[in-house]
This record gives sequence, structure tokens and C-alpha cells, in this order.
Amino acid sequence: MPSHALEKSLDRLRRGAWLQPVSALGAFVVIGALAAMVAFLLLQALPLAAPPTVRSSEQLALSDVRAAFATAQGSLLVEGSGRVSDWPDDGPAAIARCQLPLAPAEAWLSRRADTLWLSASDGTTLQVRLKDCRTQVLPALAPPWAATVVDNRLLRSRGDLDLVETKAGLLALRVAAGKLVLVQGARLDRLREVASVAFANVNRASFNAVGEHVLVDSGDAISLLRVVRAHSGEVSLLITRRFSADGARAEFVDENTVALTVAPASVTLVDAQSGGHIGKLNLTGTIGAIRIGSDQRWLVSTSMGLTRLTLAPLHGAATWRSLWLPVPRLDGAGSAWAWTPEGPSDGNARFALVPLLGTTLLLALLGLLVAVPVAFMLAAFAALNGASLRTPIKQAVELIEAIPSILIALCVLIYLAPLTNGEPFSAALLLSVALGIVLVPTVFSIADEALHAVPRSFAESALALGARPLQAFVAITLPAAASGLIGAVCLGFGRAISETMLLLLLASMLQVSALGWLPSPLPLGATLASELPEVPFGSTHFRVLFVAALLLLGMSLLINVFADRFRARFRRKLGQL
Amino acid sequence: MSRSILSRWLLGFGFFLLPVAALLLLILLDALQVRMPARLLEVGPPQAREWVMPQSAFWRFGWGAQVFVQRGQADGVGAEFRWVERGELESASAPEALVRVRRFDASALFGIPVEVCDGAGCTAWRNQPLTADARLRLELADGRQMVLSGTDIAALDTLNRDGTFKRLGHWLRALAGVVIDAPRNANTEGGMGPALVGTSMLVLLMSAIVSPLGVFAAIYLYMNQDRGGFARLARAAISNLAAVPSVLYGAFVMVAFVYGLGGFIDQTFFAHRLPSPTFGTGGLLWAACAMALLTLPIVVTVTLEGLERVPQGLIEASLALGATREETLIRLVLPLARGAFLTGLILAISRAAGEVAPLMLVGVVKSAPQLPLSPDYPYIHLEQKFMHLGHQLYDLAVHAPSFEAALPMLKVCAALLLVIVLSLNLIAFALRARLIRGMENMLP
Repeated sequence: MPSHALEKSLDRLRRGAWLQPVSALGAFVVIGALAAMVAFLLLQALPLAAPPTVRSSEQLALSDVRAAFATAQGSLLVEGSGRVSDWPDDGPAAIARCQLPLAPAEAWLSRRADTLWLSASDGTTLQVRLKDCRTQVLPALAPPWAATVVDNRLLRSRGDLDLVETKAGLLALRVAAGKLVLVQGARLDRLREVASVAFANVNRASFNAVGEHVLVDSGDAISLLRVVRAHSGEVSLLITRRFSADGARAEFVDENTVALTVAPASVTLVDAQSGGHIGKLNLTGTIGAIRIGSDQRWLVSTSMGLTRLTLAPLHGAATWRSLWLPVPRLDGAGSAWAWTPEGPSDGNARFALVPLLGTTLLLALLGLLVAVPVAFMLAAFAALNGASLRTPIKQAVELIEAIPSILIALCVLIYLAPLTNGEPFSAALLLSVALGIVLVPTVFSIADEALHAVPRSFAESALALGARPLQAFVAITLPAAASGLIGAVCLGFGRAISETMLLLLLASMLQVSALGWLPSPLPLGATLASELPEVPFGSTHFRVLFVAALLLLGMSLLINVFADRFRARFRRKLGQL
Repeated sequence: MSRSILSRWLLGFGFFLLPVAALLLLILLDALQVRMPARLLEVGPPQAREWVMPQSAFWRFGWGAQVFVQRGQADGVGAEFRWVERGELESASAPEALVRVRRFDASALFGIPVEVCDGAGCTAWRNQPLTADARLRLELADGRQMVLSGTDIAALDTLNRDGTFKRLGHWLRALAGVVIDAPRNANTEGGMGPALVGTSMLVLLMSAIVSPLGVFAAIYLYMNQDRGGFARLARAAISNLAAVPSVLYGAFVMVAFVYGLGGFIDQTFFAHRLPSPTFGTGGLLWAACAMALLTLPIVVTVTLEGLERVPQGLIEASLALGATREETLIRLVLPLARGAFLTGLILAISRAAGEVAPLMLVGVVKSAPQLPLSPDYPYIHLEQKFMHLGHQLYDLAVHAPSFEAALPMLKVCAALLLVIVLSLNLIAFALRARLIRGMENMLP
């Protein structure tokens, strides 16, 4: 009978059969929370490692494109026949704009995108007003010569390979007697040599958009150079990376990224700062030249015509290499790790996790230096004096554990900081005292539990043999509880690296970054808390912060597992005894 | 108490617990006196006189050669605070006519009121209440006169004319204001009202989320103590969740709930408001989710501990009378362990009141335009940004115009948080002790 079966199952439910599945849901949430946390943090960090991918590509059957520019509406193309045309963002075909009486070799566009300059291989230069195609011929120069656009004017210099405007003035590259020479000056007629580097043969040399990196094609190899500016104002050229590839071409596709075309249809992307490998991009057709990159958009001329690509965001500033290995310093004095997400003076952000990790470990150690002796002494005192003292001490410590760490930081800041003089040592002392107060309860409770778990009969038998209480404690109880005590230190360490607000408050108020004994101003957790609310979603900085979060999570979980191991071993050992 | 026990107590508590307790007691006492107004004093020669107020009403009992004072000058004239020699202060006079004018959006002014003007004309000031359209002409220490509109003035205190009782009244009103008033002058004055409302709302919502989850997870672990990989996994997950740094809960909730779920909700239900996000940005609900996850291990552990404390004899008696395992749990074990769950919840609440790091990522702000609780439909605004006591503390210390200006408010705010956390924990302690005693009494 179905109604009978229904009644029976209803009765079972009434008698509590629902409890098991419903409570399993609660357990599932607990497991799911941890798994989801790992998964989501990983999901946000992974795009850093993703290879460059093409989001969309559009083809245009134009084979002889000499130059292309990104404009507000789309792309401006200059063909070898002298035709200038627009390729709108949403249009399938180019719309002709001007026809010029010249076969251009190179072209420049003014910043306002209203004037175009074209040069023929014989040195003739034509200025074109794009609005009405009115042209004007500029005096010819003998090759080689370089040009750049400054304030909507074309600056041309004789005898140079490339010219760029930087904050420090005009920079140009020149070849002289087996050397590549860097010249600098406020005006074209005042350029003087500031640095040089030996090169047997230079076919091509070009700057990136801010004149900070140089690519040199010397026939058999392509070299990536860095323009190093020391604090003294001295400028030098430093070779950061050499790619020995025959017939390879290299071009800057944005300020920080070099596109290296080696195989007929593959482009390797390299981070100009660290020389680190970003990834590989496979395109169809034989690649001629990559023209420009604006944001994530490239114009690539291939054997099949012109291709406009939209790339997924590139995280060039944070390659695996630059996260962990030191990169050359800006002033040329060796290499160093740097966490400067806003970018140093030149606008390039750097993300090295090593300084953050170093600060985290250093501060944790400082805190443990105070917390471990205090907590062990308290635990030993409680163990030596029986329940009448152990219970109140335990309760008092538990109460201190409940106090928010930010309150402890504030108390230290208000009442203890004025007693010191802002020296590096006193700042370290304040930090370690504050962190110590927070860590003591964690270390104490585990150490106390371990000491308490050692059977009293052990110490009592030593006492019976004539040992003094302290002697029995040091010789018998302490060694028996050793692995439990190590577990206590481990958990204290785990608590120290996960401490956030205390360190954020104290480090920023005591201005420890100015004191110079920490590799980075803030540890991992505090960096996350202070920077994550402000970074835009999906940026390189955002992704790197999630790598930092994963690192912190991994460390905490590892320490927790490690401490659990020690405590389990301790319990097993006691069981055997 | 014999001498040896006393010396042991001193030894055991003296080197860590007493100093820490003293530090905390110091902030409590300091916060009590910080709002007690001192008399306004005139220091310096007559041609360069200054009107100052010592930062503590009990400055005469303090130590140190110098006393920290506030200078109630016009905006932009020198520092707001400075140190004055103790001797100079002791010989200073306290002119009766001096008043302190507290303003809404700027620091306090010390001066002598000259006249009050309103629509009917100007009259000499005789301690009359100020209407909103009145304008007060105030003479400052450097001899200049300043006209203040009635809408700018929060209060006018005749500190030097008031007797002890009136000043006591000032003090009590100021103490009450800590929990009632809204913050003024870049959060450095006024009260913690909105932050308290925000914290309470957060804690309530968090409790609503964490209670069922925590209780059911604890019941599952209790019912499947030694069997099943799933229960072992859940046990390991709780131990590891407790070890996860709190800021990571914020990061997780930010990407999974705020950007993920919140973005989805916005696209489905609030598409008309896009691109300005409704749930796709940090808010009360997401903060409560982060806090619930953060406190889940606490609730589960403490509840489980309570369940395991229920005497085995009682359970066996119930089973022997024919109840199923589940019936025994629902009718017998759970009611007995109610106190344990309550203890866990109180501990969770105390943690949530002081935890700041995850909140910074999921919707806490330094000043919220509206409370998350309002008489407008739907009364509780889950998507709104809110203020939080712990974050207020951090923000005041780090982002206030000057640390000295924020110091009185910081002390008050810290003491308030301390009182809340300590009382919650003491209640939890008492509950737990009662529970343990009750269980022990149940055994024959």
C-alpha cells in the first residue's frame, strides 16, 4: 500500500531521520568553504600564468601596408601606393581618405591625430593635414635619419637610428666606430653623447615608447638593452638579454613588452624589464611586421594581409621570473627585488613577492622572540603550581586572546610608543612587544596543554627519588612534552604570519618603511588588506595580490598541518609510555 | 592568604598578565577622563596670549615637565595641539567669559562671545540658546573676531563659568554621546552611533548565517565521530579553516560573493541600475558572509565540545527507552548543549566585533551616508556599505588629519570596543562554567 509506505517514511522523518542528511549539509559547507577558498584564490591568480591569447581577430586584404596607427575611431593605414585610409573599429573594409604622390617608407602621426608625416626612402618628407589632405613638402635628409613627434611637430635628426622624447629630454641612438651611442639633449642641435656600448654591427635599433629600453638588431642576434639612470645623473646602457636567432625580428608592442618573431608564424612575448618569458602567440600566415599596440590591440601584417588582433590582458610586468628573481635596479647598481605596485618614478610597476615574504617571516620571528619565552615561562609556572594557579592563569590568557589585535596595537601605539625615540631599534621593539602580546595566548594554550598531558606520575617518581620540583620538571616533564612544545611554537608562527591589522597599524604609524630594516613596508597579510580594496579588478596588481594570498594560505595551512603532526606524535608517544 | 601563595601569584601574573591588564585598564580609565572638559586657560604675555585647554581634566595630577594642550584657534593658524610647560599652566588664569565652541565640520574654537545677531537685530551674548539662523560674533585669542553661523555650531560650553555639577553633567552627556551621536569633524569628534549600529547589524546577520551552519556541522561531527572519511575530512577542514588568515576570508568573499554572486544578482534583478552596482560591490550582506565563514570554526568547535560533554549514561537511558538515535539527539542532547552553542555564538560575536581585515575588502567604510537600518522600505539594507567599530579605530589612527587630534576619540572608541569584547567573553566564560557544572551535577 503506497499510503502505508508514505506514513511509514513520514513517521521516520518525524522520529528524526532528517537530521543526518541536513547535518551532512552543514559538514559539506565546512569542507566546501575551504575548497572554494583555494579554488577562487587560484582562479584569480591563474590568469597571470595564462599564455597570451587572441580574443578576436579581423582580416583586411591589404598586402602593402607600410604603417598603421590606432585612432579613437579605429585604425589609420598607410599603403605603399601612397593611399591613406581609415579602417573603422566595426567596419569590414578600409575607407580611402587621401591619395598622396609618394611611395612612403615610414610614417608618423601627431598626438592629436590630425597631421601625418610620410617619408620616402630617398629622404623626402611630406606633411599631410588629414582633415583635407593638404600636403606640404619638408626638406629632404640623407639617410640614416630618425624622427619623433613632439607637441604635434615632427622632429627629425640626421645620422640617428631612432629618436624618442623622454622626461629627461630627447634621446637618440647613433652608430659610430663599432659602438652604439646614446645621445641626449634638450634640443635637437644640443644632443651629446651620454653612453655607449660596443656592437660590431647594428642593422636596426629602436626605443620603447618612454625611451627606457632599447632593442638592437645586429644581424646574428637581437639584444635587449636598458637605459640606466644612476642617482648621480649618470646614464649608461646595460644589456639585459640577448636572443641569438637568425632572421628574427623584434619590436616593442607596449612600454614593457617585446614581441620576438622567430618562426614564420609565431610571436614570443618577453618582459622588457626582467627579460622574463611571457608567452607565445601563434598566428596564421607569415608575419611581416607588428605595427602598433594600443592597449591590447595589435595590427599585424602577414602574408595574407593585415590582421587586427585584440588580445586578452597581458600581465607582462609579472612573469614567473619577476615574481621571484631579482630584476636589474633602475639606477644600475646590481639587481634587487622590489614591491612597488604603483611603479617607481618611471611608471613601471614591479611585483616581487620575495620582499613581502621576507618581511612576513622577519616580523613573525620578532614576535616569537618575545612570545615564546613568555608563554613557556607562564606554562611552566602553571604546570609547577597546580590547578589553583593554572586555572586563573589559563582564564586570564584566554581573555587576552579574545582582545582584538588592533586594540593591542593601539594601546602600544598610544602608551608605549611615546616612551621611545623613533629609532629603528625601538620600532622593532614596539612591534615585537605588540605582536608578542597577541601570540602569547596561542603559544601558551598549546604548551600548557602539552605540559598538562604529561602524567603526573612521571614527575612524582622523580620527586620520590629525591629530585627538587624544578629539577624534575626540567629533566622529566619538559623532554616528555618536547614535541608538543614544538607544535606550540609552530602554531604561534602560523598565528604570527596571519596577523594583519596589528602590523598594518603599527608599521604605518611607526613608519618602519623609512627605517630601512625591512625588505618591504608591509608583510603579506597587511599588504593584502591595504592594497586589495583599491586595485581595479583584473589588473596585474590584482592578480599578483592573489598570488600573495595563495602564498599566505599555503603557508598557514602547511604550518597548521605540521603543528598537528607534532601534536599527534606527542599524543602517540605519551600513549606508548 | 599566606605569603608564599601571594608571592607565587605575583610571580605568575606579574611578568605578562598584569602588565597587559594594566595597559588595558589604562585605556579604559583614560577614555573615561578624556571627555571630561578641563578649564580653559590663558597663557603667554598679554600681547601674545593664547587660550588653551589641557587635554586632561586631571593634568595637575600628572607627571612630566610639559602638558599637552589644545589650542582653539581659527582654522589654518598654527598647530591645533602643542606642549606647554607645566609651570606656565599652573600660573595661568581662567577668564570667566571664555567659552568653547564645538563645530560640526571643524575643530573647536576657544573665545569670548561678543554678540548674537538674528533677524531681529544684535544683542550682547548672555548665555542664551542659539537658534539656527543666529550668528555669533566670537573674539579669538589673537584679538580677531569671527562670525559663526548657528548651523555650524554643535555646542557652546561655558566651561569656566560652570560649577562642578554642571561640568559633571557635561561629562556624562559626553559619555552618553559616545554611543548615541554621529561622528563629526572627520570622525575625530562626536560619537560612535553609526559604527555601533553597523557592527550590531553585521553581528546579527552573521549570527543568522553561522548558527544553522555551525550547529548542523557540529551535529554531523557528533553523530559520525569515528566513522566515515567525510567526517574526518570535515574535521580537518575545521582545523584548517581556523588557521586561515582572516584577510583571506575577505579576499575570498570579495571574488566569490561580491564579484561573482553579486555581479550575477545585479545582472538578473538590478539590471536597471547598472552600471552602478547594487550587490556587485561590498556591502553588509557580503561582510556578514565573510564573518560567518570566519567564525564558523569557533561555533562548530565549541558546540561540538558541548555535545560531547553530555553524559553517556543519559544517552544510553534514552536509547534504552526506545528513542531513536536522532530523537535522543533532538530531545535530549541538543537542549542540554544549548549553552555550549550560545557560548560559541558569543565568542563568534566578540571576534566579529573586533575583526577588521576581511571587512576592509567587503564593504566597510569610514563614513556611511546612511545607516543599514532605516524606516524606509525594506528597512534593512543588505547591500549598503556600513561603519564598523574596529575599522573606525584603524581608520582614525591611520587616516585622521593628525594623530593628536584623533587621540581622544581613539581612546573612547578603543575603550568601547574593549568593554564590548570583554563583557561578551565574560558572559561566555560564565555560561561555559555553568554548563560544565550542570553536566557534572547530572551524573550520580
